[in-house]
Amino acid sequence: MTSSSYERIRAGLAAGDLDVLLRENPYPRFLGVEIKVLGGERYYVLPRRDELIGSRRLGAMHGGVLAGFLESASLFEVLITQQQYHVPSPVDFEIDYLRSARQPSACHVRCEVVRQGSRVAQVRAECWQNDRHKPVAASRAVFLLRNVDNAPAKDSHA
Amino acid sequence: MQALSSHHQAIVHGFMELIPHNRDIGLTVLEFGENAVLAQLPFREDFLGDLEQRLWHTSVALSVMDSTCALAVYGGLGQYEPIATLDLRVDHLRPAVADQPLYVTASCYRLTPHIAFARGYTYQDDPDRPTSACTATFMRTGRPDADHPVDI
Repeated sequence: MTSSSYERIRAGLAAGDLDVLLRENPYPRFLGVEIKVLGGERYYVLPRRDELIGSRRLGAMHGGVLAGFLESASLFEVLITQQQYHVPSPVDFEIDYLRSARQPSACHVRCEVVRQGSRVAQVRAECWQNDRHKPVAASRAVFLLRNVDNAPAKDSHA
Repeated sequence: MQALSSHHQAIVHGFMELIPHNRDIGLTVLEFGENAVLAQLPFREDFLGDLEQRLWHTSVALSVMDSTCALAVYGGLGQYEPIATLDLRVDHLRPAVADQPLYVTASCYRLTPHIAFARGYTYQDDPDRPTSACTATFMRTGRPDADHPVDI
């Protein structure tokens, strides 16, 4: 039996299986992103790995990887929280780096869907290591929400 | 844009040595000079986001933009110097399709004693049809009175 990736995500989320997002998204899985629910709150975790080092001198996490982690987490958050299933298509993303993300600590992200309309979702995310009150980065992302049945053209956001 | 001089080759070599992640994903620098950088990232199944349509994950572009903009700053400086990314913004202009490499071009368009401004694009077969556009701002943390801690 074959089913589409979108259908597998929809069915998995409906059954409460958050890890379906990682099975269906190779790049966040390649980075090693994990999805955790603790005390009723959802977190995204990126464990330490040598391959993710952006500065050998400081042993710090690669800034671009951190950006990708926050964007991936923001997209997951839209998929998990939306009432009706749409495919979020990233429009733009912006990140402020606040502190160096020193290894060996894992990075944690918490996302907030600031606004979810019928066509657009806007998400803020914050990343920290050991102390939630000392964020290492903060981001905002915009996603266009596409109808699954309305197959989008490959070369446009329309 | 010019081919790599031995001086710039040395900067690229240091850059790849200092940043294990770039080597891990297979990012290679094709051209590098005072004014611009051109790098290439070969496609891997690991870089997919949308399995249904087989599109590159947009987050891969964020990673290579950060690295390539930083290298453009070193090109503008003419040497390696500690810098820290202050912020990065990427507009995802159109999807990047699977099975083709992603090209990344960046330039440092303004350099002050403390700050470097860079911008870049990713594209696939046509540089005039970029898949994403980026601006990034860096602090020159090697300066005696610099205080931002996020250096690379």
